[in-house]
Amino acid sequence: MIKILLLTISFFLLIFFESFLFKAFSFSIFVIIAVSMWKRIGSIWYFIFLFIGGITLDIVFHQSLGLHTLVLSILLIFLWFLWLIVPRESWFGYIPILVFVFLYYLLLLVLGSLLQDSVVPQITFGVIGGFVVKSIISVLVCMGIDSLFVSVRDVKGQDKIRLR
Amino acid sequence: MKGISSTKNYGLFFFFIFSIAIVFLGRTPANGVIRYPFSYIFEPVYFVGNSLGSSVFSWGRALVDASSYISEYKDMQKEIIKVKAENEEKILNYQEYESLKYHSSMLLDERKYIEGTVLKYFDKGDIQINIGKEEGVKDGNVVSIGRVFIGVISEVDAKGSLVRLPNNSASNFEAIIVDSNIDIGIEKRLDNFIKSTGVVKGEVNGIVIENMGVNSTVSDGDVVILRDERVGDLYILGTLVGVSKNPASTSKSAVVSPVFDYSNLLTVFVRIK
Repeated sequence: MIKILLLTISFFLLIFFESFLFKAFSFSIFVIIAVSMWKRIGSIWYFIFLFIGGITLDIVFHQSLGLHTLVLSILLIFLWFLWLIVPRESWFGYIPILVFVFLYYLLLLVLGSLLQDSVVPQITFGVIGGFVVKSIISVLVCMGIDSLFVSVRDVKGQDKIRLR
Repeated sequence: MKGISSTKNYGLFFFFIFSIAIVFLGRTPANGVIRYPFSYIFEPVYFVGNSLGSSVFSWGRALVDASSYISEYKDMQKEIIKVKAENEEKILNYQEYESLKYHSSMLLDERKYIEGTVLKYFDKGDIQINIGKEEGVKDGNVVSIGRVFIGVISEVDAKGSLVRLPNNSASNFEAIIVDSNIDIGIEKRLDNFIKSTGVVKGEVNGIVIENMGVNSTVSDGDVVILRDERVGDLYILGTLVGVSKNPASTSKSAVVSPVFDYSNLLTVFVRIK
């Protein structure tokens, strides 16, 4: 019951921060949550969150239904393959995250335009540069979240919060 | 990246298939049915977040573009000054046109006038104009607008002159008072319409007229006309205001309200012949 309550609250917070950050800085917090929470919470809850969160974002941003979930599902499979090559535990594990976030913005633009208007959008160097900058910032945020998790979680028991 | 378990996750592939199904579902009429409840619940949150984000974005852009705003502001200031100057010029031109029109309709044909622009007004009862000796202005020339008396040239320089106004304490003229209905442009002989004579002089508070006949029928609103040998022609000065009603006095006095507000004059005409 508590999980459902937390999930419900998290949807409202997600929509608020996503719309706020997207309008202010064209920055997405949904992708950071998606990549940071993978394997950190139960798979069912994780996918429910991605599914409903993605659909909600599609609706409030007036995009094609299923766009966010489709992009994330493609990229999560891609990330899963990348992490087979590059271990997630090492510092190089952030490179797949960088690629993941970059492709998230790119695919969101391309697939969004294709699904909605059946037109391939014009992608300039400026757009690519913006995606790279946003990807780097996202990776830095992910690093911060990882450090936070390491500091509050017990090393031996990952399900327990460290008391001191 | 510690503290993360790496288990095989087949849920991903199901999620992918489910996502494709949702995309196809979005292409069916069910799209509207799915959108409505989500939209109903989350749109207000989105609106609040979007509004806040918009404010932050606007402030951020303002900060980034601050230098351009400053230069734009300076350009606008210059533009405003330019527009104001053009506007003032138009007002001056119009005022000059009005003065010329008024003056030409009432001037005496045998006289010669020079147009002058007022440069400065002095509180003691003088105005400085932009014509002087080079234009033929001489000390004692009468300054007027049409048939309205403005003053007498008191000092002349090469390129400018000082006009002594009737409200100057050094000014004094002989005047006659006629009824306000008399038109001096039409009536050639005013002697039959004179109510009284008097002496006009400047004082701190304005222009006063004294020595009006105690038995005369002068009243507020009557026209004061200068009839002084130093002025030459007949000129209107103004109207009577506040005629004294002291029965013990041997004469009547009043304040003269000039036709023009001397501090607002822009164009005057100097009679040089």
